[in-house]
Amino acid sequence: MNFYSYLYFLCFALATYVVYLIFPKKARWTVLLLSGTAFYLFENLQLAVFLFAAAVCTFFTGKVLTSLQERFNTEKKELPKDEKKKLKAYYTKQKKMVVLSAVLVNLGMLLVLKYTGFFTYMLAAFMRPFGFSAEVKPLSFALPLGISYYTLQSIGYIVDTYRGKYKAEKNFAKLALFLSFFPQMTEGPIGRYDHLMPQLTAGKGYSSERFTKAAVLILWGLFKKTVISDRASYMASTVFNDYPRYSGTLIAVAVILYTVQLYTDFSGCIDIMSGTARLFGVELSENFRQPFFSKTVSEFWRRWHISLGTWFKDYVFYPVSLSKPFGALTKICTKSMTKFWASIVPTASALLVVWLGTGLWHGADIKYVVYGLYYFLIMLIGMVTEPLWIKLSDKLKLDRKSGIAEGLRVFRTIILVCFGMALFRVDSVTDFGAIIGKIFAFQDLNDIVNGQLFALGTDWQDFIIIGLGILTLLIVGILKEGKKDVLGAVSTGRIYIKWPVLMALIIAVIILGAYGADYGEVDNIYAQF
Amino acid sequence: MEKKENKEKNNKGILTYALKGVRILGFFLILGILLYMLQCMYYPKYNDQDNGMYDQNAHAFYAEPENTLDVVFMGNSEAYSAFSPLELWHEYGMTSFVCAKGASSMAEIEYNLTEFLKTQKPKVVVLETDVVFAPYTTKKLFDKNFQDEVETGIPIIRYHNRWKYTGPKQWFSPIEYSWKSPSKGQMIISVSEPYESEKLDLPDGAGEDYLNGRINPITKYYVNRIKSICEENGISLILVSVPNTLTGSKKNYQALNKYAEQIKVPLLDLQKEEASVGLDWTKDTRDGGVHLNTRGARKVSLFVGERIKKNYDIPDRRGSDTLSDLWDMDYNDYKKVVGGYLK
Repeated sequence: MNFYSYLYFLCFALATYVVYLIFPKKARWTVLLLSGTAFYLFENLQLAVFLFAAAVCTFFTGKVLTSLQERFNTEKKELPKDEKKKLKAYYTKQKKMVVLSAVLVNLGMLLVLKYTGFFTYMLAAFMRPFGFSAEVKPLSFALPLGISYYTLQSIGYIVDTYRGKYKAEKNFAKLALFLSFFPQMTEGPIGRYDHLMPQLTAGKGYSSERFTKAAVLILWGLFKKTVISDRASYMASTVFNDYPRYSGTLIAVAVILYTVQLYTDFSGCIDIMSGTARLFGVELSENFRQPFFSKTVSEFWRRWHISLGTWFKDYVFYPVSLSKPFGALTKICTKSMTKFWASIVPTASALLVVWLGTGLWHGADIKYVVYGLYYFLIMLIGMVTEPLWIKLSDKLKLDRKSGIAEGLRVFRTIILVCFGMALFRVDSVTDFGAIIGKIFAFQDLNDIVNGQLFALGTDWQDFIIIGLGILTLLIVGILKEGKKDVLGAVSTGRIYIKWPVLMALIIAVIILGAYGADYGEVDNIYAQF
Repeated sequence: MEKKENKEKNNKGILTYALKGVRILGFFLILGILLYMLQCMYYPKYNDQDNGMYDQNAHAFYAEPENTLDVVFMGNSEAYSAFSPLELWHEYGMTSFVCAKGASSMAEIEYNLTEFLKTQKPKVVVLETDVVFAPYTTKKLFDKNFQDEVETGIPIIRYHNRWKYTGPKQWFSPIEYSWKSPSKGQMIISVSEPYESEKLDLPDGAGEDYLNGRINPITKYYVNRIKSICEENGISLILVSVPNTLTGSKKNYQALNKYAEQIKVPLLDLQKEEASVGLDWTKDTRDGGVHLNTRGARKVSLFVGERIKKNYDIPDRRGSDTLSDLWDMDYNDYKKVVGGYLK
């Protein structure tokens, strides 16, 4: 999606907004449903069938689960305690079967469409040592827009209904709206039914404060995306697409630029979408909380793509940790290990499942599996070595909470994340190894000053703009960490603050945005999932 | 008393809304003024590429004397490769210009035509039809046309990046479009790369409709707009399909013939007349059959020129006045550059 796509997306959103306001309050949600449907159909008419299938499956699963629960509630009333237990076990089993089937259908669509090529390739590679030598052409299908996001939303809804967190939605159209609300179709965040549905159907009207807040957030997102991210993308792409030609120094700069690109691309798009949703009175869940201020990698992932992290925590980590096999594992560990290891091993095992899933969610490729494992290993090392660090710092009488110590930990996290981003960007794990090798060879350091740096698609003026952009993000981020919401203050501030800031943002996006004839089109990185 | 209070309340409410309205208007007025000032600063003051004009060849018509061009060729790279205004001048005394840009959208063609008509009064507009079968999906086609509508409608968006290349000197200097295209918009490429394979690879992003004879409704919408502009200005519109081994599917040409009939615009189908044009795919193409080279352009231009001359009232301007001398000079320069190749 480039600048112009955003422009017509915003035109589309504003047109929807006008129609939305004209409609009576109770019927406003239908405008959102229709616009979501139009948005999806315009993207790809044929592939919309998969979203429809997911919505139908999710809706009926919810209905069946609620009806099973209600039948259980009615039948148990006149039964003695023992019988109640039996009945509960019976209905729980029934519900589990329903959930399992529905999750398989939803996940099945995602697996077939997104992962068939990967699995056939892996299977062929696995069979090769056993004499299988036929050439396997990896199958690939066109992916429906946002399938990785709405599939997780569907599964979350089904599992929550199973858990009795809320009753199933009775209106199919409303459930379809939950899965197809257009601002969150392309990049999330992954929404929860109980959070979104009351807002989607509230039909909130116009309020100047909400409108300004929405506009500021949209402009802020456009600033991140078009001024910083797209500008940073050119050098990053040039170097990553042909890294053997470039020195380790240039590759290191490209890795940093790619990290900047990815963050400002993803968080910028989320801001644009959240601002758009805000027009309709919908507050999407927070997806980023200044991730580059994190002191550990675990903290980074609690602040980065938050909706994905919490989804995996709620629907993978906890169910896995509380499952029978893991209970047995915990028991074995408690019996045969020290207290420390007995607490580490089961948690690490559940984390391994989560990180394999997180890695694979990002893409059907072995490098994404390694990407997940990379973060898993860092977290595991962190968990295992934490007592050692505490002991060491106590012995050396170092203050772990001093500004310098915390700054160093933030710096360490940024470095580790940058390597993670490089792994995410490269074509293969082998390339990642080669890139790391080149960076740590510390050769051609003068490439930074001999003009090479500015000849790779991002010139010196671009670097200045990127630098100023990052500085702006940094200041806003630091203030936000200190509970001072600059964007909120601008939205609600006096006219002599609000107007200049709004105008400066609009002009910055128009004049400093990297779009148009001098720049290529830059796709949104997270829209490819 | 109560009535009076209610009236006062209503008045207050109306006042609040009016004040909000004035504020919103004020905001956009100030923003508009600021953007307009920036637009004046960054708008190209000269019409050559070094000074920030995109597609200088296509926009060199600004420097031609007013109302001196009788024919204009519009389209994409196919058009600037296939038509030679200087050959037309030499052979028929016809003054023409190629106002075409590579991978042009229909929206851009429409805009260029309206710009062209600000300084010229052509008698014939020739639309090369490769652009009708653009290799895009409907969504991509919509994106591209929307982008060009925005850029042509709001020039600050098109030229926003000129802060990188211009200093304060250019910000306040007057517009002076004096750069002339020596070839009158034609792209002179005197290289031969023969057509060899039966089927060339489709370009990236080519939609499924590319070769299936489906003219996208978005394209039809713009062709109709171009047709209306021509009708309003008393100009004859002609569609010309230059042979192309990439998009030259039978279905495409059938569809094009049917469409031309439907909208009642004459179509000069050179695919059908390829033998009469005398194109030789081993010599007349510069990239294996997609675009013509200077030699191919000469053949097509002479053929098309003869048809235009026969069917439309285009004056022979040779030997008439100083204009004729200028064109003769340009032709001689052109001959010096391509003469050896054309032999």
